[in-house]
Amino acid sequence: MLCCALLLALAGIILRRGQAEDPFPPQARRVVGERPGDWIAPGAAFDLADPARSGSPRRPPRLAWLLIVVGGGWTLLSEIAMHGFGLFTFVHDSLALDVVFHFSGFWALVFGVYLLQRPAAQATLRGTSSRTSRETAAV
Amino acid sequence: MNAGPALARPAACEQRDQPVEMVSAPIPRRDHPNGPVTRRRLRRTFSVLACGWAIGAIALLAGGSPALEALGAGLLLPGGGFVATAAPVWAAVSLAAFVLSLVIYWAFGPVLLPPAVWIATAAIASVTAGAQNWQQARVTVPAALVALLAGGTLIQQLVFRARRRRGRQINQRLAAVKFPISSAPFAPVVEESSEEDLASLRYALDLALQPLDQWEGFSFLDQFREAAVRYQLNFLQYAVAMSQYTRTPAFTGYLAEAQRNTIEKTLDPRVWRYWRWENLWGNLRWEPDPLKRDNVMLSGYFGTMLGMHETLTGDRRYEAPGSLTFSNGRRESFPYDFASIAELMRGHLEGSPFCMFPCEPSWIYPFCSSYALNTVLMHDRLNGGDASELCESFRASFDRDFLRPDGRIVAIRNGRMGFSIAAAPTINEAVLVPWLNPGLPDFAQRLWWLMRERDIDLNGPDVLPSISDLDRVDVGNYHFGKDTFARVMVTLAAREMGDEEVATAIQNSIDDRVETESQNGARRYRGLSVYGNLAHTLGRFTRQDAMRELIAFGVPAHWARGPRLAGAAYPDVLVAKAVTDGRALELVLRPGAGPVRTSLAFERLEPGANYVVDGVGQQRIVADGRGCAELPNVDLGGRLELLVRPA
Repeated sequence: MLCCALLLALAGIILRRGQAEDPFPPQARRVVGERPGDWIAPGAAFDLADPARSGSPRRPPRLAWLLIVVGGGWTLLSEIAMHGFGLFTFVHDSLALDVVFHFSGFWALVFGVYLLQRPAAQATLRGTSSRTSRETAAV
Repeated sequence: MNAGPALARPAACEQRDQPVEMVSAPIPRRDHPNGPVTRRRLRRTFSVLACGWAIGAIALLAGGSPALEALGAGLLLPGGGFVATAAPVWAAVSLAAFVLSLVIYWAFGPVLLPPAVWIATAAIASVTAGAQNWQQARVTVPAALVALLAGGTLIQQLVFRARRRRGRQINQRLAAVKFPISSAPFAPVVEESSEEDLASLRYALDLALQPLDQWEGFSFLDQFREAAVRYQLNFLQYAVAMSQYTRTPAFTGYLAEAQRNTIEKTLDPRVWRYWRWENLWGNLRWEPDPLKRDNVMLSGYFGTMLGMHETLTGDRRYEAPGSLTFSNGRRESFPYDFASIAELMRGHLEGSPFCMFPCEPSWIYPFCSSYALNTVLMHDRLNGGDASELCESFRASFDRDFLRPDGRIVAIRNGRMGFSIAAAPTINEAVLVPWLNPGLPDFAQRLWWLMRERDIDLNGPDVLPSISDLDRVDVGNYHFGKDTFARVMVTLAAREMGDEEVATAIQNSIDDRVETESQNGARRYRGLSVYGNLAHTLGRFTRQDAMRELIAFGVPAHWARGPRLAGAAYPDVLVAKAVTDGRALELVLRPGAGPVRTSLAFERLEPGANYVVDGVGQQRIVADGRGCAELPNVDLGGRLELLVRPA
């Protein structure tokens, strides 16, 4: 189950990310240097007034990764405990216990993946602000 | 369908004052479904499989325990063990898991995954076997294996014979066709960019002129497959380089900087560190160096970028030892330069019995290896080598092991095991046409002739009526269902072949289907991946034999020594045309951000000489001791033609 969930999550992330529109890059600016052919270093002439446009890509949301790691780990451990060592198998006798105890990690994993692939997270992953290209144009 | 001979190359090279050799290019005769190297690989693969099958058959038929029987049946066929234990659902699941493992093996290269899944399903069936097996399995499973092998062989033979018949028919028509093979042009054609061309180029420039650590507008999905950012960088550089070659060969400035940026961005560990994992699970080697083994999907494409950049700008900075260091800032640092990369490509090509080498571990794509060949071609041309022997080895290998008897190509072959798999035929063949044209021009032209005959219909409602489902994918973002990416690639191939009629028809079909969007004067197709948009820009700037000339012949001597525009502000000044005859410089400029008073910088003038600039009131400029000069106060309100000539 865990392997399937991870595979589906990975495929989901990739395909969902692919559906998001790629933002236009910011308009580049270059000026002629004082000496002919003396070009300023890459990036030096950029308009850095918009901090969202500068710097390297930011990290994706921590909560999403936390849920994925904790949820995935809990699912893995509970699977090993139940099916590998026969522990806590009584939870299978009750659907409510199953959902709360056994599948809670799985649902946390799913929710983490959901958070990761939201459009806002996408923008963060790409190192952009969540502003749309239209909003950027308006600015 | 349009039969091709007379239409294959409507704008022949001889119209361009260029020596042309006319050649025939029949499809090579084949007497066996597979080439010699492929046959050796297949023999080895089936020998290993036969050992497994023999062990499985003994275990199944020896009359042992049910567990042993299930293990034996499972080793004969994936899921066979569950057939023996009378668990058909699990048998189907096992088979599906094995197919999935093959898909993952193709996509990412983990070489142990398929056998591991196969053996694991057999072991699980064995462990879960009850006291009594389904006795018919002792016959059914071996019979299914024999039927599968016999059926596969029969189908292969039937398909081979049908293709060979079709190949003979095609060769009868090809006998009347001569393909023009161009040589180095005296003066390559340079045209003026239209406003649409410039808008498309601005999208590429805005991507390329970002700071090296900034990646806005690039698509980060995964770094293993076609959506990887490395391909976006590759086609970004190719597009800008091609715009320079066909429109502004006498302009460096921000065009050259854009190309350098893409090259240096490729050194970012985010682009290349995927390889350590792929090498580990694909070749079972811990070797993070991204160029040392396989991985032509990085090295070949990168080498082509380097060659184009040096050819067009004359800038030899990447020839310096260690100038291209793949470093992740920790202990790992892999210093390379253009020469060492080209040498590596030559070694990999010559060292492989296929004369091609893998992208993902095991998987050989001929079009990716063509980039390695182009890297060697350009480096040898720039440094006095000769790649003609390598080209012929590449061709011979292609003919033997990657060409079907009907002239179509095998797009993907497993270099370890020998088998090939189906791939998007139109995309794969269209990609090959421009990139093979430099080294194997007759091969490329025959491939285009076949594509035109099979895929193109200029008289119907759609110019590409029979595009396959496999081609309905945008490989740059994994969107399925649309064929825009395939159309972009066919446009590129048609332009390189000089088939403007087809190129225009397909371009129109794209415009009818896909919306464009603009921002800050930059334009692209909405929903098409970054990779697809940049490939479209490359196609927009390509013309007949442009790739061949740029890669195989380079730039003519008068371009390499004549004056050039070295500085213009971006986006204030868009350079629509810049060409030199060795003494004077002809420019066409357009404003990119409204009317502006700006300055221009020139280089490679005669040191100390006077020049007149026609178009701005015959201003005079004087070159300094380095042959440089600046022209201040140029009022640019619309299209402006300038001619910088010796006074």
